[in-house]
Amino acid sequence: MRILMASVAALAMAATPALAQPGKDKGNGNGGGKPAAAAKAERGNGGGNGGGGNGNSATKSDRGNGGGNDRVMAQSDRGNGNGNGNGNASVRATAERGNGNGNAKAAVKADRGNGANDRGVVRQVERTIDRRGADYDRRGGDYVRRAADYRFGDVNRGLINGCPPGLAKKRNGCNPPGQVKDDGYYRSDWWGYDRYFGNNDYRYRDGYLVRYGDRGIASYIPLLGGALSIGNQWPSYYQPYEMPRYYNDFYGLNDPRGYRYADDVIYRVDPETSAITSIAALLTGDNFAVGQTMPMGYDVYNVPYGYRDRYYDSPDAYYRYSDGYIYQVDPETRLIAAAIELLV
Amino acid sequence: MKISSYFALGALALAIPAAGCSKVEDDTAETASAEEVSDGTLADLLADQGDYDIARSALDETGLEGVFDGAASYTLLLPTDAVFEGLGSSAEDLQSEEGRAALVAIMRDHIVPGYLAPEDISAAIDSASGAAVEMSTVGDATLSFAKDGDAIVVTGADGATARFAGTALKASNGVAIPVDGLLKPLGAAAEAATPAD
Repeated sequence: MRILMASVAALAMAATPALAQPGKDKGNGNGGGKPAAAAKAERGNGGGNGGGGNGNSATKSDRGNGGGNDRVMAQSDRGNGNGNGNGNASVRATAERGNGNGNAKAAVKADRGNGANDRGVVRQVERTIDRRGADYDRRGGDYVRRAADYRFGDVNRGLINGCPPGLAKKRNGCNPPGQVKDDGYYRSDWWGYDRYFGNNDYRYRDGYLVRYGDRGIASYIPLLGGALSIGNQWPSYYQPYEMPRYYNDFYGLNDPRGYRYADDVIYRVDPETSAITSIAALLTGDNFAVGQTMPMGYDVYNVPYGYRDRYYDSPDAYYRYSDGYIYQVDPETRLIAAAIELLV
Repeated sequence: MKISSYFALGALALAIPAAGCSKVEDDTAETASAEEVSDGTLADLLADQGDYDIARSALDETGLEGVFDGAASYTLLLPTDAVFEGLGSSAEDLQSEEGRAALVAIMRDHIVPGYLAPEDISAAIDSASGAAVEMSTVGDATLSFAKDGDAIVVTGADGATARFAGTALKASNGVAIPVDGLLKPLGAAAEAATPAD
């Protein structure tokens, strides 16, 4: 097991906002080459300045706030904010219980139009980082990371407005049922998406779930095994997303340009062509956060084989594995006491 | 994909069952169990099996197999060939290119994070005084495990059930537990190729 200097990692993560597509962020003159972010304070009571248009590190700004529930949001949408009209990326960083020991929560929101449709796609990234991540306890020869919880549940899961580019190229590809032969139906509740989008109007179509409007396909979701299959080009409407450094190591992602993320799946892609080459990881997306109650669905001891001699259940602590981490859990309260990174 | 409302409120009172792998210095059962674990990856182990050709082929064709070849541990509830053969033409539909996304969705509901040996599940049920225990998947479902006599029965979120059916394959990075049914019912497309409206 490798020891990870996660204090650095945690800070670096906190200070790294969205990874917008390199080179596409025009920024607003901060010259740093990082995604620009307009800032506005939302429910802020602690001088919530998310970067004042600099946007280099909204989270870094939060850290200076200390005390109180600062909620800072730096956001750039199309034409919104301090002259940052690019809109490829926006950064929202939120610090909760920002007293230096509390949680820092960074979220990234990207809003990008789909072709001529200004309404675009909304994608959200949320990461939860416990400031205590900088603290390490040495236990049994390992450093136990007390924090580091990343939640990707909402990343690149958003509906895309319009008709899938591939279908649009086909004759009648975007037409509603009745005008084209249907390929078969799996209703959206079968796919589990109705809970996110609140209706059951989605149908399977050529590797996508699609929703028909009055004039054909109005929105769609690409599916793993369908549009997001090995060999296919990664769709441009799902932008690259930077994984935590730990995930790069654990899931063997290597080249930062060589992976993509959508809907709880990490894909490897060819850095040059963006063609999907393999599936790197399947994630639960379950939200584990140090100090919070463990999610349901972890009743059984499931620690990976190679770590069982070190992390075994006892009256004082239970251990459960999810999405690359072993979590130490208090048996009485079910509160998560620590997140442990496993390095290969 | 996870929806917490899936869980019964009663689960709040459910203490986390003790695991089956409590550390005991002279635990011979654990030693015996350890000996069964292959040094290879789950992908290696699956490649050597003969009774799961259809599921293996599904994993291969969809690219899911790749995740069983890495550092991360997964437990796969592995439908036997008989399960797919029992689906008739529906199974063929699933194995077609058009059915691949549906097949992936089904298989994701059969994959649990971590290393979940049958004895761990059994111990957890016992610790819960025989009550069902739940495990999250990397798909949409949460699986529920319970005992029926000595057998372990697993139920998917949509109510589909299967029994453990055979010796678990234990690898360095995960476990495959044979099951005698699919844990996600087929969608309407596989049952009838007619539009729903």
